[in-house]
Amino acid sequence: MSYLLEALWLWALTAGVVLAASVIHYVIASARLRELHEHLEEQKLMQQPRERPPRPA
Amino acid sequence: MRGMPVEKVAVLLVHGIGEQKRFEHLEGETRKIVEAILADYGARRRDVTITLRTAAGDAYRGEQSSWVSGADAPLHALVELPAKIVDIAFHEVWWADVNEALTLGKQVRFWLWGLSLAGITTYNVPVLPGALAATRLPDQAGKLTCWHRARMAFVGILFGFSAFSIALVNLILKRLESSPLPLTNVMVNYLSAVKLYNQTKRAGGSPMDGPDEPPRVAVRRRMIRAMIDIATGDCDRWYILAHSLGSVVAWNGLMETGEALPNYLDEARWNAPAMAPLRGTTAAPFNVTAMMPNRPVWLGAQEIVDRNALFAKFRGILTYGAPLERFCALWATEIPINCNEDVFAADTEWINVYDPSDPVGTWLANFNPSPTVVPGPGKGVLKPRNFACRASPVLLLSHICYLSASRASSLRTVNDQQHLLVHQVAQWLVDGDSLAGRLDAAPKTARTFWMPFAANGGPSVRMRLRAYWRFLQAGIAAAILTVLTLLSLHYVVYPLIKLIWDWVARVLSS
Repeated sequence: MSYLLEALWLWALTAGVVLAASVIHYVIASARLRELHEHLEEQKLMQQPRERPPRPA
Repeated sequence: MRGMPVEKVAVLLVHGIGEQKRFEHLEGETRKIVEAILADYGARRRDVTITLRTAAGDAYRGEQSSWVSGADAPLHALVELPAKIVDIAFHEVWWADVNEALTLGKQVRFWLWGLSLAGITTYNVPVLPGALAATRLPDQAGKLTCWHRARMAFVGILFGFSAFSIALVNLILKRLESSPLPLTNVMVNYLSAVKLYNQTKRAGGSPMDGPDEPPRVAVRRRMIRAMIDIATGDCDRWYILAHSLGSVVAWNGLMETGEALPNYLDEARWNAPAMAPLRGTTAAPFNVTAMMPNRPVWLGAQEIVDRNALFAKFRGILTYGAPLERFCALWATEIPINCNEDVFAADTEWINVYDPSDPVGTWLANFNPSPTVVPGPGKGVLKPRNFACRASPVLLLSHICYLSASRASSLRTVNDQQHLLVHQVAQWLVDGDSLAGRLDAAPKTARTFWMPFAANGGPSVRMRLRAYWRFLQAGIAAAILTVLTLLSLHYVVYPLIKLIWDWVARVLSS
């Protein structure tokens, strides 16, 4: 019986860790995507030629 | 060849996740197909000839001869039919080396990723200029329900259990100078290929042919170069056989835009005389300053690969155990559909085979061609035909047994060996007819390899039951992992903590 309770406790603990990690993942990824979206809206990304060093004559 | 006409066939095999060495997947899968060819066409020993071409140079003190690579196929199966000889050349897209080396950092990042995957955000707006006009996303792209997230969380919990049980036991075994159980490393290396495909950077930098590009571009480069090598060769028809994550790689190759395709090639390939039919130009220059992969300096702003010419001899793709629907939900921007859809020959097929007990491969429903596309004369579009099978009743084993003919290794109980996928593929390659027609004609009962569809063409009751059987097995795996974790806690973790605690107490008291 104690093993069963321990197993339930283990599941609850791991589920909590997974939930917390998932929420952190969601928050960080959402912030990054929002940043990317704003960046794209300002047309700063991908529209400018990549800077290359001048080629020798 | 002895006065008989020779029909040349090329087959491109694309491996999925794993730690495959060079030619390992090619040898493993080709062996099954060749054995089926021998069984189906080798009534006399001389009817089928298998040839292996080794490389001109071998490694100094190497343990084995190397095989030829590049545009040449190392393995050929020559089948003598009454009126012709069919020469099947087997090529491989090998990309396992693009994966990151197994380090502590990789393990930590992998576990964090696995534990938190349920919190993934979906973003389905392509960012490259021109991508919006040239490609479209699959139907239902990015549709993640709470049920999907709950399932991912369940897998995350299993990840956690394996991290705190097997990984910890391995750590102890290593300290005791015993051999660690390879399960954790294998799992990390296998599944991290999925993670790698979604990374923008690889630890230590991407391969040197694209050091500032995401590692998936390096994988696609292998695929596209192999496709170009075959298309510019002398074959009469060619096929792709893609397993697991390899189906995503193959799909990317088939759907890459004509503008971006030249960017994957090296200068020698691009300028080769055989490449001439594939080289094309656009009427107006396009934006080459921001492409993925980067535009090489030897290419101008109008050069493209003509996809009509590229796929002129392409006759079909077989995807088995394909996670394309998983990608559609999670990473849809990585599997776009090229809007120029009717570049394939009218008889080109896309056959998708899956086992409902396979947790990776699924029925494909969101990759159908646009209904507004009317193919030109002799042209067609790629439309997946789904076929459910009984590869193996065992969870995960079903993912790697699609082409297996062995009952013992697949634990399969079907009674129609002659209709197994591997035999159908062998006959498809040799005869060049329709694989869908063959699979439609194959028997589908309760004891056959192929599963019957429902009356409306959708998944049947048997298919649903087999999928439920998968969930039940996942539950059993969860129970076993729970017991392992508890044992690990009782006999490894707690004693270890007590040991450390006692040592700290002793140090502090002295």
